Amino acid sequence: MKADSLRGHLDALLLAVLDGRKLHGYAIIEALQLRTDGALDLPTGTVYPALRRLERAGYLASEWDVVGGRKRRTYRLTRSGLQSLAAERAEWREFTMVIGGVLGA
Amino acid sequence: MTIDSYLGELDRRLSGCAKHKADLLAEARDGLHDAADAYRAGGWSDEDAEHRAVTEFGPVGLLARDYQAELGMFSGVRTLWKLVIGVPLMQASWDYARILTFGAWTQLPTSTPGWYRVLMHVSHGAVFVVPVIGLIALLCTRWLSRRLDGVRIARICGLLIAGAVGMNVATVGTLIGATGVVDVSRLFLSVPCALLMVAWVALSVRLVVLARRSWGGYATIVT
Repeated sequence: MKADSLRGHLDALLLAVLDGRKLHGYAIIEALQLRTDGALDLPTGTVYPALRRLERAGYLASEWDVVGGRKRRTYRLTRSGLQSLAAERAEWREFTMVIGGVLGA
Repeated sequence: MTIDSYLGELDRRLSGCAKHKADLLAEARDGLHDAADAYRAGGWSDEDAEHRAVTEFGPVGLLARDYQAELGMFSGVRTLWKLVIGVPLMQASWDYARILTFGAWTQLPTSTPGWYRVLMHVSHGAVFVVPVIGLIALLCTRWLSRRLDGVRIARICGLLIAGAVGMNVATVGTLIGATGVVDVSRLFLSVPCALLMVAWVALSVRLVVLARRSWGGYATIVT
């Protein structure tokens, strides 16, 4: 899969990774790589400013926490973030249904 | 390149609020050390693990652009809050001080020309338009953060801040300049009024400095 296509959905992917859990930056990157089977080949450093932007957008909340004996900034979804994720999922389902109907399974 | 030298280079390329910059760099440092630890656990040497972590993190130039946009947005939002709260507060405080320490405008010993009345109505209106622009900019920032990347948001936010701060400076300049032309003594109706006017000018200058700093931050974004 083309990495560019995945990058265009980075915000939704970040929200999805944080669904139902609280993670720090590197754990988010690891989860993204695991779930995309390594296909998301973007500079890992770009994830941190994207997380701050999503926090400013009201989708994420963060705090400094001690995780594994080290002080780390951890992120979690807010109510708005959950709503946005639900909307992204619905939109994605509709998109794949429409395109799949044309291209075939 | 080691983690320390990489972060040192990133640090040199960024300008903005020192506390927020340190916070961003601390988070980047954690991420880099986490990545290096993972490679060490996989059997890589210390040097190779750090080198691999830094390479995966991305070229400093590319990262500096995103981090600078984030820093610019942070100072931009702080400037906007100062504008939204500070400008109407100064106007209200000055009017309140004038009523308490001087009284009604009818007590003025000199006559007021028609053009001055018009100019004052416009300027007083503008004083309340400035925080409205600031509030719109704050809402835009939040809304745009859901739709655009950090660099583009930082640029749009910079333009809105420049517009609002510019309008505030023009308003304060018009109020003081026109009053000075009509009757300089009106600028010193009482000691509290004079002090509040100085504070208002100081706030306006401070807002210009903050806006320029934010704008300078956006201007350093490497594209």
